[in-house]
Amino acid sequence: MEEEIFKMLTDAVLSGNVKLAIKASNKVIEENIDAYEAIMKGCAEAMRIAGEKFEKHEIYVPELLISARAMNSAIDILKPHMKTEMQTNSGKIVLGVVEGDIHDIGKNLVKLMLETSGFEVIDLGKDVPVDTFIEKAKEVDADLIGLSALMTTSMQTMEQIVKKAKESNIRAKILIGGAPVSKDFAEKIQADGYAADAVEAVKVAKELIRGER
Amino acid sequence: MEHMTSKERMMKAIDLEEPDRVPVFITALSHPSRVVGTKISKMRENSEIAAKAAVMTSKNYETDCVYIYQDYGLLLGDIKGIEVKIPRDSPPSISNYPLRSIKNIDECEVPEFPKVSDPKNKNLRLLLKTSELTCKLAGIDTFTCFCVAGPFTLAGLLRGVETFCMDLYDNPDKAKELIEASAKFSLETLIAGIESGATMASIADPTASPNLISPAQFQSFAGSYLRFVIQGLHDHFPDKTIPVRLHICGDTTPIHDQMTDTGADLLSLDQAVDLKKAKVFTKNNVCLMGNVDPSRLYLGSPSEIEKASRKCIEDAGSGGGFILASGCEIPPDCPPENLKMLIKAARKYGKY
Repeated sequence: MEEEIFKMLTDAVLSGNVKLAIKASNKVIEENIDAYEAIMKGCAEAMRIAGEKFEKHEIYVPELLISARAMNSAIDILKPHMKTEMQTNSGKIVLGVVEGDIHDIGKNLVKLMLETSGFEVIDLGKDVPVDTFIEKAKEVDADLIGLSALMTTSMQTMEQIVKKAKESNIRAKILIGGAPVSKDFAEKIQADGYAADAVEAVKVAKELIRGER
Repeated sequence: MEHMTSKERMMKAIDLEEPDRVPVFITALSHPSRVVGTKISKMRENSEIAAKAAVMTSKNYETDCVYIYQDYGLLLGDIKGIEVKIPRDSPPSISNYPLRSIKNIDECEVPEFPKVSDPKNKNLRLLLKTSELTCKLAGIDTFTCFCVAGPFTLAGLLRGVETFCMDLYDNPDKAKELIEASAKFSLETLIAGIESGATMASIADPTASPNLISPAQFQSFAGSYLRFVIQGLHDHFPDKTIPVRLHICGDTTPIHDQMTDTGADLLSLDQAVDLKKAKVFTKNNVCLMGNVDPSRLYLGSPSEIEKASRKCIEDAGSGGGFILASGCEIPPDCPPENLKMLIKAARKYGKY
């Protein structure tokens, strides 16, 4: 039953069908299924598939956008029912999609998960200039800078940001994520952490802030 | 020894033949303010200054085309509700697009585009005055280019690109109505531009890029409307040869056939495109122009620009039908030494 509903949610998000996404989400609540699991296994899974298809030019920006819209309509219903730990003061994170990249769906999902885990997220949006990350982190005395990218072309920008952050001696550690990047790449550019998805981002963010990494 | 005028040289390349050398074209809208030592806003507000700046820029860098000043504010500023802000020294920005506040496209009414003939339309009149003065100052032997935004881009501007992308799914017919009205406006404005004295009609449709929409979406929502504009232009001037340039940003490789099918004489390709592949693919059926990276023109060294220009000429210059150009609009503060390298490279490596 659970799997069936998750699949329904995934299909709804992938096809950008808002009505179906709402229907599936209401079913999650009716059946007392864990809302967090539904977001991860239904919505996040759909967006992961969509991201893959986008990279392969099987789908384009309009398809990504209607999927994100369907996902948001599902999350609106599911979020109030989430039972994950709701602590406060986990830390302060400056988050954004790096310059040259306008794809903020992954970043928005990370933001959602971080916020529901008690982080304060300062969202810089998309296509964020290199210096803005550093300046904002300085200004708010952030614990962490989260960098996201969807395009292979914007990977290099991450390298510049890490370099500038080290040069400017800010306290914030740097966590990177997004379709084209990897753990290896994070190590190569000397970022402090890498997360493969929004769930892992929360885990790694906590570890980095506690000084466990 | 160069014996052709810029007009002859450009026309020869557009006719897919070999001129005396590869022609040079720089898409410079805001940079000309630097050439005449003024602010962008001065050029924007004063047609005489804009004309002088455009002509001086072409003279300074010895390009084969004078690029007539324009911006989205001039084009769309007369639409009811729209506000244009003119910062002192950066390109104008538009706010208050009336259609952006409407959530559902079903409720959008196709806006009334400004009519060129109506003297109340101050922005549009200014655009055409600038064009007229620029062409007059450039002289009869000079090739001039009048540019407007393409239908898909205009519709995307009016609705907001992200919203408009979703509109394509929510109500494709309504989206097409908006694109069609935009196409009629592009056409009318281009006709007025040609009547003001410009040699070439140029359409920039950056939002119709494969970086955003699929080739299939291009076909339904952009290509056919571009064809309508280009055909309309030729129909309006049956006795005149008006070359049409089409510029789309990003890696347009997947749609070069569709771009050619629009009837454009000249495809302006951005730095993301492999010119060599484009030349092979288009088989010299359409004139290509491109594609020195504007960010390198800004940040690179003159020797880097020479190398990049040489590569463009080697990739796409053979047999003619090629114009060496910046891949897209150049940043306002490009160093003049870099811009001068285009003509140097064309003379050194682009002789036929």
